[in-house]
Amino acid sequence: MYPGRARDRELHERLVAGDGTVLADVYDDTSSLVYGIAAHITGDWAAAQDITQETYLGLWEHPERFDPDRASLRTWLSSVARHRAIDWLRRTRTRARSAIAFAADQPPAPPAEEVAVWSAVAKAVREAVQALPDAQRAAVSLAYFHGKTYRQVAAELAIPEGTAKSRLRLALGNLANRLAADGITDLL
Amino acid sequence: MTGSHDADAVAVWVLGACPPDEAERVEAHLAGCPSCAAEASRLRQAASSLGAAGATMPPPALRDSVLSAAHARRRPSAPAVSELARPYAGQVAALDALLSELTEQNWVAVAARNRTVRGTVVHLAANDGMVAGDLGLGPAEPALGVQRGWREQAEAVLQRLSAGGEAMLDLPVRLAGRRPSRGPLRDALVQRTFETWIHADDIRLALHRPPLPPSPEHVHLIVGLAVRLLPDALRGLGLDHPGRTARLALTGPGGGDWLLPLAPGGTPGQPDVTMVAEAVEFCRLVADRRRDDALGYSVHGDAALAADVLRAASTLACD
Repeated sequence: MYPGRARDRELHERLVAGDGTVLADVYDDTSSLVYGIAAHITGDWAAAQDITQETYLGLWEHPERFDPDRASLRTWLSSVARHRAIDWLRRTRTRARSAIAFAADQPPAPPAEEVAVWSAVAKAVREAVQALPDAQRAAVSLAYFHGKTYRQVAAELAIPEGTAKSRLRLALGNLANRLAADGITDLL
Repeated sequence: MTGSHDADAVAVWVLGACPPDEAERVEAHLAGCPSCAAEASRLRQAASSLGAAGATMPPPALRDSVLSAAHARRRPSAPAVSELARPYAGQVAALDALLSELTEQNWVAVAARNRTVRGTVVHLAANDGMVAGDLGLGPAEPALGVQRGWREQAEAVLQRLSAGGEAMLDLPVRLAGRRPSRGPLRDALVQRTFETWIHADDIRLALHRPPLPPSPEHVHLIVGLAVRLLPDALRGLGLDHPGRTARLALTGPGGGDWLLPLAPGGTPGQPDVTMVAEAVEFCRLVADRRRDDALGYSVHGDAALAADVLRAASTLACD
């Protein structure tokens, strides 16, 4: 169970009840996360705005699809935004940058006006990602940001499929350990 | 448990990076393996942290565009509607979460009124169905089963509410109770919230779990409804006392002070009797889930009037 569950349950009740101010509250809490994921995956500002909009419209029109007892609202919105962004990527396939170059990238820094606590979280996560061995970071970036299957990851990195799978596990496990040590997972 | 523990497969599944047939195998395994499921949940947090690393403020204009598009597609409820719909949505979610944890044996455990847990949910859905039917919503699809059928009907009522405006709250609908009666939808919603809570507590009790009182706002709404219904209930039992007044001094969460005329159409005057009790316990009495003598209350003034009020209150129950 996650620590913010009581608040997420309250937000869920307000969404189901059609409370006229709840979507603004949710947007203000989470839009930098949702937009950041969409922008990072698509690399396209206009697409990122569309995906952000559709993500919140989906929550407002079908609040029953979000179950606060299964995952936090942040995790749920992240996952919806990511899937929409990866779908967009698969539809357009016009991305100019090579996946390998991208995988070695640093995620973009948030602007100064970012809420203080989120800056701290984003900074800690960026450090945790940077601390991963290059091979693990490349594999997990291909899977998370590019929606590649482990077989495609193996092909792109020219490694055996079993190696790709274990690199993905090691990368996520290392991230989870480091973030838990920093006390960060509570906020996600 | 299906299949073997495969940590690599779990991580790949969390990332959505395996083909559908492998995903199905992992899901089947996770359903029966708490340790792999816990690992999946831990890794899922790590995966979503990857998204948090790139948190970026969207352009300021996007906020208005999102909110106005959303509110054009689904109109927000009037504040008065959401004030009543919210506690109901909360009780529906709480009961649904409770039911989702039940084992097959739990479903046949005996709860209040000699109903099984399943029978309790069936009874609740039937009473909900009076409101749903009066709002023009069809009966739940029987093939959905007891839990989903109940939940989808409740959600349909909530959706209809949030689509309608404040005027909708005045629509007359059937109220649940031992005697057939009708009332405005605003009262029926308080009653639905009340009954959903009471039956959820019936189920908790049957499974030896602690009761879970509703929010103070909700307790306050229930007491207000009971006070409105009590003069007619007193008359129905031949226990009405025209010109006389009781004061309910209810303590604890949701409590407050109410003056109650002891006959229909009366206006409250100087109280002839004051009854002091906990608000949540008073709600349980109204649901007939406490015997009068078990209600921890104290009476100041005419004790015979207080006994009549308590007797009438316990007849407001829905079953």
